[in-house]
Amino acid sequence: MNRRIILILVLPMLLAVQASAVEGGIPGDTDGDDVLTFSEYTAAALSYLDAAYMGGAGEIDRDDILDAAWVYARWDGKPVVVTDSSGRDLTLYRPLRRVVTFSGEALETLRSVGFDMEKVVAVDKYTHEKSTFFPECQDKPDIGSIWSPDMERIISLRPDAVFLYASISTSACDDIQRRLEASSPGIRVFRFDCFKPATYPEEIRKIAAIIDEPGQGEEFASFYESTMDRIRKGTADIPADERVRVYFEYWTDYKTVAAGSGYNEKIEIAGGLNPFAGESGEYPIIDPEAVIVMDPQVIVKLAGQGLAVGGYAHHDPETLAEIRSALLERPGWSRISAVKDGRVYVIHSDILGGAQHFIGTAYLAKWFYPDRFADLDPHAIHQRYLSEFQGIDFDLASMGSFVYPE
Amino acid sequence: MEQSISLYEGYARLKRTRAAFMLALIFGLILLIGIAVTLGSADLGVAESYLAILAGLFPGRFSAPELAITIVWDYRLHRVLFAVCAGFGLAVAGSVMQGILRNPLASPFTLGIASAAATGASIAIVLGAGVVGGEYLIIGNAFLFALLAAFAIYGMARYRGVGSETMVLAGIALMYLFSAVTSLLQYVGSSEELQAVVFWMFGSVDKSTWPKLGIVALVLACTVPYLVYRAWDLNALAEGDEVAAGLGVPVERSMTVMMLIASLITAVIICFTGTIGFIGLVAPHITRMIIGSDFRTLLPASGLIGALLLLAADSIARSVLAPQVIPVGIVTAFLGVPFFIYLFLHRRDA
Repeated sequence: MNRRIILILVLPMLLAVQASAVEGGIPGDTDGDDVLTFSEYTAAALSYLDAAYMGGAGEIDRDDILDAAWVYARWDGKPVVVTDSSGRDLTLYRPLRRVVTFSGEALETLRSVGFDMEKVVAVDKYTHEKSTFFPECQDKPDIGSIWSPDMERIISLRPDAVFLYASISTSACDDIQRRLEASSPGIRVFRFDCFKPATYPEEIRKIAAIIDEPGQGEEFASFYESTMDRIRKGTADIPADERVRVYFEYWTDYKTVAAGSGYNEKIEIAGGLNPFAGESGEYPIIDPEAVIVMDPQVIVKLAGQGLAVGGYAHHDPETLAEIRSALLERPGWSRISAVKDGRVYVIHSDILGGAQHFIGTAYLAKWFYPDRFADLDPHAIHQRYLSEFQGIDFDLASMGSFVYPE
Repeated sequence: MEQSISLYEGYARLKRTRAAFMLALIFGLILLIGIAVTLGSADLGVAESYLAILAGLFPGRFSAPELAITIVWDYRLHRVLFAVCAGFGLAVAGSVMQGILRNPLASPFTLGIASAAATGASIAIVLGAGVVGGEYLIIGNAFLFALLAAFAIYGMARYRGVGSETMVLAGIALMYLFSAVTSLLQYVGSSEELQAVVFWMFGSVDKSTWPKLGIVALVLACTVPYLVYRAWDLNALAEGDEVAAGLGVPVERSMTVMMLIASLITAVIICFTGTIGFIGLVAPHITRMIIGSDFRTLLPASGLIGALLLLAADSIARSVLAPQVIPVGIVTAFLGVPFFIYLFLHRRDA
């Protein structure tokens, strides 16, 4: 009896709900003013119950009502506006449910700020290959890379949010974004880099806001900033002519880094002076003579993709040691200061390239200025990052190889 | 009677031209080597560079700063000589291929040998490299595939009947096949591997070392004298298979032996340098435009032109953006093409 009265009362609203079931807005926001009021919320709830248990014709389904509850309870009934790193304002009318990432860095950051990885429905092929770092992604569909995305598979997975890079490979990412927005109205495409020291703290907080985990976001951002600020402050007062001369070698022999490359930025943050910073291009190949003439005080060799040893995938410190001894044996290198003083290091790109660059930068700082950074413990920072923020079971004592010598 | 005298004089004049041309080339090459060893990021003076060379040769009698000796002996000298040998070898191989196949477009590139080497290198880079010691894998694979292509062309031509057109067609077909394999590997490879493959295909002499120089020099020393010795066969072949056979040249055997030698030279060089293909195509043409097509002089002369071209290109590649090094394959084309077009447009018999 009561139920019937309620249904009669609710009926006009139900019709309105049907009419306003437009893609995009907050579920249950019947008047379309982008505010979910108490009465709209309760009406939506009743409509859902009616449809689910009474055979009613309401269009509110289980996901809608859960999202409405989320928006009402956690966002105060209002949509959330987030500006991504491409400068676009994105309005979130409901929380993220089905996420696809093209960027391992964004995925890692999502995990850092406490995102439920069950909600990630597909990942890019490089993430898929990282079985030790993203073990939970092994069974998720692989949607290719930004260079050859499997659009059919992405669309068939019906994601409500997709993460792409903001400032690298922009034309490929723009193209994917265009195609997604054309085929799935209402999809939210976020553009974040998650590997640049200058923008990463801000990106962490924005991503935390997107998934509604501001507390965890703040905690991780502070952890990141405390390391980077410690390094920046520790090197700020070193005059230019007293900075350590660093020769940084990429995977390929005699390929170095210049201004504009991420690695050079990290060398500079760690207080190093890269005499090849002024060369053209980001990764110039240089004349071997020039290295001898420059007489670096510290030499850092990058291991990683192009030199597939170490990292999260392999525990093989002896191979890193071989790379180092091969450097020492290069003709004429015995006269280089770095070699004479034993300051030749190998570092893996896993902790210097992507979202974990703060760990690698800490190692660089310690190698460049051991006295200034005597109390800095990159190894401990690394382990804490993995255990506390990434929540993966990875013991640095027996797994992976990231630097040599330790 | 008068006519035969003038023919005789003409031939004598041609011989003098050729001798003068060869002398000029040798002199030019020595001069360029002399300049090239003084070029580099390490700011060594001309005198210091030469002292360093002498000090390395006669340690007792000359002395130079240790740094200069290291730089000249460990980095410069083998690179300069490697460029000379590589340029020489590629040009000789190109001349032989053009001669045998009587096709002005024949070169390690058009015959698929260079693309086969690139495929071999790409396989090593994408599927196997990244491992320590991967460099030898790349070199070995490139060499293997280059020879494989040579034998495949030979096999197909053999099956179909050895003829110059058959070989060129077989070579072009192979080139497309190998290019497709390389493209596929680039497609499935990571961006890092892609970059390594692309860089390999630019060609460069950056990876030169004394042992590598030794291998290339040894192969050249064993093969080039034989090719020059058989230059008459090439001259006869140039007149057509029937003429050559009439002159007593064992056509089929000569063709296969020389093709294989030319392929071997090419393979040995490009497995170390990557595809520097342009030299093999253009050096013989430049030489032919200047001194004619008698293979007895054409072979060594185009070798010298090739050496000059590659060494000049490498010297420029090292100096223009120093201390950066531009891949030499790029500079070779910038340097050689305008020169080639100039000669082509101003050739008197054009």
